[in-house]
Amino acid sequence: MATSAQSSATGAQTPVRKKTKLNRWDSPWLNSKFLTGLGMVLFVMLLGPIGRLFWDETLSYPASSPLNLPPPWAPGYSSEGDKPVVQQVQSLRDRSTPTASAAQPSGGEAAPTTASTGGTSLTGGNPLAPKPTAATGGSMTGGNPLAAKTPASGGSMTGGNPLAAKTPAAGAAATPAPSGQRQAVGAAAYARFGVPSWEHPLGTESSGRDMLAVLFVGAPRSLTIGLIAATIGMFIGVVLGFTAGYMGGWVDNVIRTLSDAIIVIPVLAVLIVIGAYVKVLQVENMAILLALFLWPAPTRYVRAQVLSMRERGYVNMARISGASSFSIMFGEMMPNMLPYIAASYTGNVSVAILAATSLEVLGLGPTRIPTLGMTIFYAISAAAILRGMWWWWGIPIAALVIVFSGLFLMTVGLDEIANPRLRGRKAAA
Amino acid sequence: MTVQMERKQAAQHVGANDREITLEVKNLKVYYATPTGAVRAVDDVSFHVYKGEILGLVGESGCGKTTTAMAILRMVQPPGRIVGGNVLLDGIDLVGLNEAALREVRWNTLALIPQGAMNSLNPVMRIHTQIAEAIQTHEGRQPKDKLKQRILELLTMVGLPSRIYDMYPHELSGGMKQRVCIAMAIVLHPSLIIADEPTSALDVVVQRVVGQTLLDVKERMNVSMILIGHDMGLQAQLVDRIAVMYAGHMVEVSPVESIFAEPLHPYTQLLIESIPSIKERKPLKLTEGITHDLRNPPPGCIFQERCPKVMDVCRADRPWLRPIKPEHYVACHLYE
Repeated sequence: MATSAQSSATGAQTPVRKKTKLNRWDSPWLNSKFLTGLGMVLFVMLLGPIGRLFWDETLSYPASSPLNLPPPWAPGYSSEGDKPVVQQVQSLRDRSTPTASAAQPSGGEAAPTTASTGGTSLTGGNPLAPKPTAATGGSMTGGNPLAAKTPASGGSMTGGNPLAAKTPAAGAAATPAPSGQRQAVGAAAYARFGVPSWEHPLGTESSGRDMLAVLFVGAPRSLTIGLIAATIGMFIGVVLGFTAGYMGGWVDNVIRTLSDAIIVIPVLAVLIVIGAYVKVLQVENMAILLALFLWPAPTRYVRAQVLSMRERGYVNMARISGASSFSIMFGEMMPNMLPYIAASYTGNVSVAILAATSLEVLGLGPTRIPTLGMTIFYAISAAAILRGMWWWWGIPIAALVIVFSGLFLMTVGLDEIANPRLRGRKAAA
Repeated sequence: MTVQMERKQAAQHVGANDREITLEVKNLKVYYATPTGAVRAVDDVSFHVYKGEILGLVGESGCGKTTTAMAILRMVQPPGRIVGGNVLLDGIDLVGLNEAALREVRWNTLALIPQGAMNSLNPVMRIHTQIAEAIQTHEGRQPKDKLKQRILELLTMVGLPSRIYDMYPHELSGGMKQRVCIAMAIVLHPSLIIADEPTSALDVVVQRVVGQTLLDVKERMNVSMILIGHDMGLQAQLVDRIAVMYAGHMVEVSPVESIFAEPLHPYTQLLIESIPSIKERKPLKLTEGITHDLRNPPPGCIFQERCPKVMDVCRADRPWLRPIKPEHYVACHLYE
């Protein structure tokens, strides 16, 4: 047997060989779920820097784009949004009187040419227009879907968006309007303001923000809040969890009691109270506020892992070999826990974003900078759903769905990376 | 640095029969506090290890072998506690050392080859990182190429190919991992290595390789070793002297030839009889009875409840270790 030891000793003269993998695609990190999730999150994150390249960010400020106020069903609402309200009302009166009907046929025919100024052809919704003269204006009130879809009638207003053209027609037909005049004004204004157009691809909202710019500015902001809050919370959690688990004794008792006490507090309720008192203006403040409640879960989690790891052979060996507590904790234990920490980190990010969005939807978020939650808040306040302004509430929700799905996929993917047993499940099924 | 100087002084310390003593354990007591009384896991144990010899520490499971080793390393975990006694390593009393001084002694002069080598290597660190860490903890930062040279020499010394330098523990077999642990133990040239059942969970062939490695290392470095185990056959081949433990007490200490030629204590006799022999066919003998409750040992001899040769005096007086033959100590009333 000594000979075998000798023979392997002679083999020791060969130079240390570089470790080679079977091929470079066999890494567990090339997990499809993880990469898809990462791609989705990165996509939202990169909306900011990439969007800045070809879109004007300042359009996200209020009143930088056309307003869509007052509400379309209000009397005295005009299609010509850039005129002062008094003038609008004036022009409306002029037009609704039978004497002004002279303008009507010309408006119908001139539709293709006056596309950019808009409004005139859609005044076909005016009860004066549907006199069976032309297919252009009459089709609108008649509710003929085919006619409504033709670019000559609806398209001139909306930049060719068929949905925008259809909705007012349907809405006008369905709502029992007190008078024909009001119904006509509603339909006209509806199509005119905020609707996605070439000028504003994702539309604008009541305060005059361009939605595309809001998306570019707000979506990365919302994600940043989550990332900062989760990072701070995770850092505190890891440090406290390691201290509690490794030190034990009264340190453990204090930390455990504290984290257990905080974990039962309904976070949202407390955050609402704090948010109502403390005026949150910056994204960073928001993140720190959230981080106050994000550390107990990782603390418990890390502590449990450390407790089980503390008794493992290699930790004992490190202790016997005279390593310091710090190097045992972060040199020996930490590398073993990285996959778990990463998986719970992505989970924590989505918790943080969810909490941040909840606060913002309630109107307690940072007010200066548009975020996804604040956009939803504004949309709710301005009755965007009733007014059919799908682009206002739909875009932030879509962005949030992408972020949450991406984070969820990352969590699942990281779980599979950390736990190889889950990887084979697909093959077995 | 004081530790180093004391070590030099202690080198002049000479044992009873003109052999240098590396480790001297005197009246060591380790008790585990329980709600129903202290469990006397190690009770009044004394022995010594000469320089350059292997002392075998044998006994059945739960007799206090590992606790003794952990007490020497000062690694007894609560509720266990060293209640009394001295552990003199090269003349320094380890029981009285504070944490900082202890950290310097551990691995520098006192190393451990752990029980389960499978669990004693960090699964996420490469072999060379783990060995380098042990070196750098005690000797500070070192140039990379020098460190690599040293680790490769070390691996060669324990008969491992140099390709494992860059490997992870899961890429190695059990025997290789055990030899990596041996390499880690000898990296700082300690004066005493405690090997806690280094060959458990290995098959006999690999056991032999690991045993051979241990012997090679001992010869080359002139290091003292305590080899803990319950495999009498393996002990007979590897060790110079054997210490037999029973229920936290040392019952017999003797050179290996002497103890196998003529075991004196009834417990040792039973232990050696329990080894199945290839040459003769005889029924396997089992020791009757169970060990007494370690919380309240009976007055008199601790082996009285299982001893086939028990006498009245055994129930009254506790026998102490006495030399019967040169270097052969036994704690039994039969030889008064």
